[in-house]
Formats: sequence, C-alpha cells, structure tokens
Amino acid sequence: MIRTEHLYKSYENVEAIKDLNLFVEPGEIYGFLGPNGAGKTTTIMMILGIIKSTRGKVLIFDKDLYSDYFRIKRKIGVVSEIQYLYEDMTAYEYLSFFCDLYGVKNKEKKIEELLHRVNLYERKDDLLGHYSRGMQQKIGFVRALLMDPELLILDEPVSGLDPTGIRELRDLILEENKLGKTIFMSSHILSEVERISHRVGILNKGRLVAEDTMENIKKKLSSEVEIELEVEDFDVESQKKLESLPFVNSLVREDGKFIVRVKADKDYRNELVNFIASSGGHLNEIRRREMSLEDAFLTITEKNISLFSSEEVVE
Amino acid sequence: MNSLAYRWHAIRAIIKREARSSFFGLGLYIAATIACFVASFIFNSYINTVQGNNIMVMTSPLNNPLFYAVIVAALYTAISSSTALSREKDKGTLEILFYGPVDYTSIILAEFLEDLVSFLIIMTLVTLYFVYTAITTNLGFSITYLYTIILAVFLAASMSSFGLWLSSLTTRIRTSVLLFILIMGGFLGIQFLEGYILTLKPENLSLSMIYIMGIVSNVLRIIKWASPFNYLTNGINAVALGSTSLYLENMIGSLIYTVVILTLTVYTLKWKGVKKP
Repeated sequence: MIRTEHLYKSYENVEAIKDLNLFVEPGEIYGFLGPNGAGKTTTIMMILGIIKSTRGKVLIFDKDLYSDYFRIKRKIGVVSEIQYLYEDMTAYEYLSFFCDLYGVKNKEKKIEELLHRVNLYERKDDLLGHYSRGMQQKIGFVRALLMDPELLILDEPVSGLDPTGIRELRDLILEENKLGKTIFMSSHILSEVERISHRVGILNKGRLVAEDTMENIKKKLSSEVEIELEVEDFDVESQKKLESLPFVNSLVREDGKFIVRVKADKDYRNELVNFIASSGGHLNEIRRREMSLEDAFLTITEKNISLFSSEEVVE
Repeated sequence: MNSLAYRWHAIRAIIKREARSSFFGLGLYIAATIACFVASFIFNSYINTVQGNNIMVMTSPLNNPLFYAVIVAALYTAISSSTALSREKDKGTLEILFYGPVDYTSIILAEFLEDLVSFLIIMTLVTLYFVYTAITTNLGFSITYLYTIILAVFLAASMSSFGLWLSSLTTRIRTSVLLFILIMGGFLGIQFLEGYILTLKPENLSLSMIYIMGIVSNVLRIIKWASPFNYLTNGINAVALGSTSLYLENMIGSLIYTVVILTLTVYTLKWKGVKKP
C-alpha cells in the first residue's frame, strides 16, 4: 500500500530522514512511532507529496504519486494533529466545500451519514470556530472519509483529546479498518498504538530502527523473560535448585512473589510448574510478565538500537 | 474523472468559497466606495476646471474619473492577491487543501480567477455609480467607457498575478503586505525616475552625465516591464489617446505578463512549499 525506498530528506546540512525503507501492507493498521523530532511528520508529508524528498522513492498503491496524482490522492484520507479549519464556516458548509473540492457525488447524503457517525449531526450548523478540540478532530476525520479512501493517513490523530474523545476516534479507526481501509497512524500515545496496530515501525533520529509485529519486536529485544510465581511451601533448598536449572538466569523475591528470569528461546512455564510440583511446593499463580510497547520503545530509542542490524545506530 | 475534471472541481470550489468570503466581507465594498469617492473628487475638479475656464465642449467627461476608479480597484486586487496564499499558509488551511486531490496549478488559478471576480464586482458597483452620475448630471457615456472596462480586466489580471507571486514567496500575511508595499513603491519610484530623466534637457548636462543617463534610462525601461503598473498606466494612456494599436498592444502585453507570472507563481509555491510555518 505504501512503500518507501531509500528515502532521504535533508534540510541544509541536517539529514532529517535517512535511508527510510518502510512498507505498509494492504488492510493493516500500521503504527508509526518515534520521539518528537524523529521525522514522523516529515515522512508523512513526503508520502503525500507536500514535501519533496532529497533522494529515494515513495510508492503508493505500487505507483509513484506523480504518475497519477489526482487518482492516487483521491484514494487517501488524511487527518493531521491540528485541523486548521475555516473557522468562519459551519461544519456543514466546510464539509460541503471539501465535497465540491474533491468532486464527491451525493454530498448531502454523505455528509449527513458521516456526521451522524461522529455524533455531530445536531451541531452541523454551528460555526467551526465554536467547536471543541475533540469536535474539530472529528470534523477532520469526516473530511478524510468524504472520498471513502482506501488508505487513511493519521498524524497524531488523538493528540490532545480527552479519554472519551480518544475512545471514540479509536472505535472509528477500528471500524474503518474492518471495512477494509489500510491505516497508517503516527502517534506518541504508545498505549493507543499498541492496542490497535497490527505492525509498528519505530523511527529514531530519522532512521527506521524497527518494523515488525509487536510480538516480534518484543522477542527481538528480550534475551530473557520474566515469570512471576506465587508459591507456598517452597523452601530455600528448592529455591536454590530452581535457580540452578539450565534455562533459569536468576531468581529474586519481590513483594512475596518469586520473579524467575528465564531464557526467551521458548516458553518454560510448563517446566517451572513441573519443578515446583516435584519439589513439594504449592503453586497458586504463574504469570509471564509482558514487555509493553513503551518498554520496547524506550529501549530502542534510549539505547539507539536498530532491530535491523542488531547493532547500535552509528551516528 | 481525468486530471482536468479534478482541477476544475477544485478551482470551482475554491472560487465559490473565496467569493463567498469576499462577498460577505467588507474589503470589496470599502474598495468600491473609495473608487467612487476618488472618481467623484476627480469629476468635481474636472467640472470646476471647465467652469473656471469657460470651456463649453468636453469629450467624454467621465473618462478621467473612471481611470482613477480603475486604478483604485486594480490596487485593491493586487493587495488582496498579495495576501491570498500567505494567509492560507499562515492559517494552515493551504496544507489541508493539499491532503486531497488538489495541486498547485488549481490553487493558483482559483485564487487568480477569484481576484478577477472580486474586481468585476467592484467595477459593477463603480459602473452603477457612473450610471447614477450620468443620469443626475445629464452627461453621456462614450464607447471609451466600455473599452476602459475591457482593458481594466486585463490590467487587473496582471496586478493579481503579480500579487499572487509575491504571496507565494512568503508565509505570513504581514510579510506579504510589507513586501508588496516595498516592491510597488520601488516600481512607482522607477516610473517616476524615468519620467524625471525624460524632463532633463541634454544641453544642460555634461557628456559623461548624458552617457550615464542613457544607461540608467535603458535599465529602467527593462525593469519597468516587470511592473504591473506599467501596463496599467500605458493602458490608460492608450484609451485616453484613442490609439487602437497601443490599446491592443497593452492588452496582449498584460496577457503575456499574466501567463508568465502565474507560471512563475506555480514554481515558486512548489519551491517554497505549502506547510504552515
């Protein structure tokens, strides 16, 4: 759906984007992550043709944007962090203007249907300048959906919204994805990305340092896994024996629970259950501690790791 | 739909939106009022001159006031167009337009055509005023009035294209206005300087001074082709002199100037970008 090949963007002597090769598959929700200033918006602007790349290629629907500019742009809906609306227009007038601009047929029906979906139909005749941040964001979403695009590009779509607003937009994104739309979403709200993305790409200092499913990124980052055990009648000798098992790296006690660090090459929970049973302990709970996207993100960005080369990024 | 159809949709929608904004705004009516006021003032001075000198016959007494009204309307067009793109960039709305199937040519053509629509609205209001003046004073219109109005559209086109080009260079409304004042001031200064040089008598100047004046005069003549004022003043002179060849020459000159400057504007906007600063 979107493919960038060796994409570069330089501003004077600063390289904002370096050798970017990302790939967004049709029908997926792709989370595009990166710290502030990593180059996420610059990348989106290059994909949309608003900023020209210094080098490299952007392919959308397997075509160069300028080979069929209008037809390709018609298949893309964009929602930015700030909507920059014409505040002297009502919501209906604004959407009607964009319908005319894009050549949308049956505009009255389309606008009515979309405004109902975002619960703004009753406010359609209010000036956009009087809308709250969340409502403006919804209008941006409606604008992006007017052409019923195949691809939705969302640049920090939930930034600055309250929890209700975030949930409403999340539901909207998921609904659109279920309808077959591909979603490319940049965000710094990691929990949101983790919740809805099929795959993520992490951009750090202008370079794509990871691109995979969450599961695989976590696997690549962890050489060990933490398993939490709540055990009764587990004596010191049994603890020592457990610690000496070949797949166990360490054992510590934390708030009355045992935290066992085991190798990440396979799931060792069955082995642990069997060992505790054979040593006479009573296991009440066993839980694998999952690495969150936030942990993965911080590990990658703070340590300058690239999951493509398994080496630190050389500046 | 093909590219032309997409462009046409975009152009029509933007013109509609901008025209609505102009129609419900004050700028257009203020410009029309100033144009009528200036025309009244000129007309009044003209009548007083006629009366003071006991002149009995006047040809086309409404011409001169009309010329000044055209100058005011064309100036409004230039000022309005010089902020058109920078205002949209400043507000971030230009970037939003480019998220969809809209390109640089569509945006610039739409803004340009909307400027012409605004100019025609002003000229319609001015014409209503002239009709009223003609009825109340019993002074008739001549065919020159129609010639002036037709030529004025071409002159407004060159003013608008120049304003749009200035607007494509900047990202803030204030910078656009300052740049406009600076460049227009420069162009007017050049025209004034050229006029001054022509009044100097060669017999009062040294040889080296004559040589320098010759070079300066030629440089100024080249520079002034870049000024939309040149087409405005030459066009008005052509109508005043009743010279058909000069009239057509100015019309064609304005047209070529407009096309060249609009093309330059497309490339400048591409180069400078549409992102909010």
